Amino acid sequence: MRKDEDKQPMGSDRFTMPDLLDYEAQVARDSFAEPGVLIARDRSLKNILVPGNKTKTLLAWTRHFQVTDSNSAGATAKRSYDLVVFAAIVLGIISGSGLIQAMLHYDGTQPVNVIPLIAIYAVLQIVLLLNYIFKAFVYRLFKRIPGGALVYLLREAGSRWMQRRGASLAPNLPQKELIKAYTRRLSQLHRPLLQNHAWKIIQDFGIACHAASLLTLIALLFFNDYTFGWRTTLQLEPEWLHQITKTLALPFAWLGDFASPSLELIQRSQFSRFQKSFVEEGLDFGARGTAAWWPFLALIVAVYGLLPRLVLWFILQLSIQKALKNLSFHDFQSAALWSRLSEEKAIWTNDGLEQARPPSDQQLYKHSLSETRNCIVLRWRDLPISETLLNESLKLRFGLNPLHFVNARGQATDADALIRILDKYPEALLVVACDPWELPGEALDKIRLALRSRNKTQLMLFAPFEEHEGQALPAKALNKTAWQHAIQAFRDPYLGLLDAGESL
Amino acid sequence: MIPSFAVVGRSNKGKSSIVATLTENDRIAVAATPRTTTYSQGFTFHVEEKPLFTVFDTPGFEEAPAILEWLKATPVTANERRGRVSEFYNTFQGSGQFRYECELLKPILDGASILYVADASHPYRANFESEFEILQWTGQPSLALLNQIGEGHYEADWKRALEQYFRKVLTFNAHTAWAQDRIQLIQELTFLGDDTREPLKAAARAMKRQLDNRLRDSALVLSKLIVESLRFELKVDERESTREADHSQAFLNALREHETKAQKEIAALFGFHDLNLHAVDFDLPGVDQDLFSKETWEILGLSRKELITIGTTSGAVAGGTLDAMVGGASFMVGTGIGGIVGGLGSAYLAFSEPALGGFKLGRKKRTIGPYKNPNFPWVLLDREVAFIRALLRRTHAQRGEFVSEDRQGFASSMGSKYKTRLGFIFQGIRWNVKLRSFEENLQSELTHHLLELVDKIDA
Repeated sequence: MRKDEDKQPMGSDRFTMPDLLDYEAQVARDSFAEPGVLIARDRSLKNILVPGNKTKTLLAWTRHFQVTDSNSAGATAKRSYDLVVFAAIVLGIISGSGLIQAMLHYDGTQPVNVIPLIAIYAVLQIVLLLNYIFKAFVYRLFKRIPGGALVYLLREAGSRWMQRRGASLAPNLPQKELIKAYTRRLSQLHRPLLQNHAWKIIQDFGIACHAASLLTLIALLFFNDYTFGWRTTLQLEPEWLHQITKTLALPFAWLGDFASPSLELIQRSQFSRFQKSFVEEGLDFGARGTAAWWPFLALIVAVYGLLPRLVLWFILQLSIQKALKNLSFHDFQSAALWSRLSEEKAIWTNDGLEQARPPSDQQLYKHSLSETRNCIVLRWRDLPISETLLNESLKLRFGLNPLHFVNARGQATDADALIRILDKYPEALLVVACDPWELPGEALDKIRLALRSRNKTQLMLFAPFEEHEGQALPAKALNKTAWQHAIQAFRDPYLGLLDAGESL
Repeated sequence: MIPSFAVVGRSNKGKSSIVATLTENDRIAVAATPRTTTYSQGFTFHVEEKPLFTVFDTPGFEEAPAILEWLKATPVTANERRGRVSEFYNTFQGSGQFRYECELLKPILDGASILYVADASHPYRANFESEFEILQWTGQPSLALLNQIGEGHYEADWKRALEQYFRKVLTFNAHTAWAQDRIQLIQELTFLGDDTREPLKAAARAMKRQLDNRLRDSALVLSKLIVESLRFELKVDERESTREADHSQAFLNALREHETKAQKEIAALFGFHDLNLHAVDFDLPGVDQDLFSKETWEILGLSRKELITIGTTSGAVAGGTLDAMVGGASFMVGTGIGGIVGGLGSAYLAFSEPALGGFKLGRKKRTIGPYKNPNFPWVLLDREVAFIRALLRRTHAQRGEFVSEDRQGFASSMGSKYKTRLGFIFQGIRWNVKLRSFEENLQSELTHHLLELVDKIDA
């Protein structure tokens, strides 16, 4: 997450690390949202779709949300990362400079021992480098590091710690689960990328440390007059040390003889602490000649300390860029998002739905049909039951006495004809015999209104009948609720349903 | 101007149901009482924001005989009839009289083709003819749809009558028509005019693609559910409850919640927003039961024999992979050991109720899960596929109970090749090996099976 990577303009068509962190944060947020809401939201973002290009589309999607969130996870992480890198560089400079100063501590009584310098700036660096190369190659070959049980446990523990830590950042907030989901996604999907960023911080530290060491070394050499020597408890022959230094100097020996200490220099600069003198006397050589170690020392700091760090830094940078470039977004949430964004948007729209009316709470007229009553029968809309059958049924089953039968189909003249008859029998109730599915509507309402203009309390009962085995019977499979609601909708207390002696 | 269609008919004959089914809108007011719809409302189908056609839901005919009386009161020749209907509309529009008919005639006079809806479960009556005649007078191209609301069957009578007034008569049951039927109806509408052909064909193609996409997305949600459920672990604080059963219950409840969430997600994909998942009524026993009920586990998923076979095969395949990695130098020992371990492991887990043990995270915390029963992913798969099947069959006009007519669990009906492949994937997910590739494989396997479901339903 270096500046050259982050400073890409908003119009850049590649994911940067802050983009990726923002993307994952938004996806983690979405995992708690209602699917319908997500579908509606993402389908409205049609303008961001780059047909056939998932990565570019998801990038545009991420930036759509970045615009509205200046304090995004990515921006925060970038600031934190920059701070950590800065701290690593400062620490590297201090430790690098301090280390070389300690190594070159010279009080004039004994020469500076080059063995620790070689050990720290060459041998240790080679070991670290080999370790890294080994890991990288083995990982590349087997996609995991062998002996992985421990590594696996450590990694899992790390992942769990991340999740717990993430959750504990906001223990009492609703974001707790969100942070957990976010850290889980990051650790499961982008672990190598995050690891490379961590490695890069180490390289930042290393580069700063070795660069500071090298510069401090040169400065100290310039401002001081050092005498170098070598001494070790081990029985190391000068020839052996020469072989070691010669091998170490291989990468830069081509620079000239000065780059590699000669056997003579090594023999003459062997120092005996016990004798407090060089093993092989020759003060002229000792005073000036042993200073010939410095080009070798400076070069091992540069070649084994600084150079590999720089190379690693560039490799990590490239692998980060490559990983960011090749983000596949194959995980379920990304696949679902891509599907929401890319699928053809086939939708139905309308201006606003009409709501179903709530049923009326009108109380319907309750009456007793215990006494024989006269009635006028209205055969509504071609009811295919004969007058004889209706007459018989109404008499026998309901104790009604039909005085007159009228046919009506809902024409404008129907009401006039009916009223003329009802005027003759003001006490008679009106029975509307109809098919059971002919729920009363506007046409019957017109008849009702005509009736009410003459008689406000004349009872009007609906008789949904069907013919069965030569008899007119109340319909068996009658949807009573529908009838009740249909009648109640008229808000007329003198309406009812004739149903085996009961009214609603 | 895009083609438009007015769904008209007698009040309470299922016009809104047909519109709800066609437009996949479960929020349209559908009721068994008349005059639920009081004004015309248009629903436009867009593909990539391009409007292709509009369907109008209209109020029902209430006073057709009276209107026909009015229309015929002044004698007109056939070429003047449309003008006479317009005159009627202009006379009564806004007057409060014949308000429902004015509303339903409005889109027709604006150029909408007519889709007349009749309920074929009731006997035909001559009084409907006044409605046919009014519509005929408008001169608009028309088609009749026979809906089936009740139990009766009077299609033949209705067809004989309707064919005299409408160019074509189709049967379309708003309560059983699934996606393919809807697409077919859209294709049939092309017959109503040359200008409707291209937009409607494009719409039918888009609807077909939409169905495939929904199934793909469902496969994605289902894969996610299976992966998350197989790997689910619950961290519990032992200070909160000392009872083991409470922890187990909390773990199972979390898995139930996962399933409900996934089902809601899938329902939303199919445009069901108001589906009551608690009112699910499946004919396949075990699907409407609790996820962890005894009956569910007895009926759904695979038998123990099948689980052991799959466990053995999966183990052998995993061992065989190791053999292949060492170039056969292991003399197939990996395959043998893998098979034995896989078989024995499955047998043990299939015949015992695996405990929900876990491991301690600290003095007070403990992790429970994952759920080890080898039948668990198969039971989940069965339940969710049955759910998707039911969604495919359900129309947006249906309210209330959610019914599925499955007779057999999906998993047990799969071929042994597919079972082995899925079993291997489930095992890989459990073992957390190359998780991403197993997830992708699961997704593509399920997509394949769900897309096949459509053909089976169609058949």
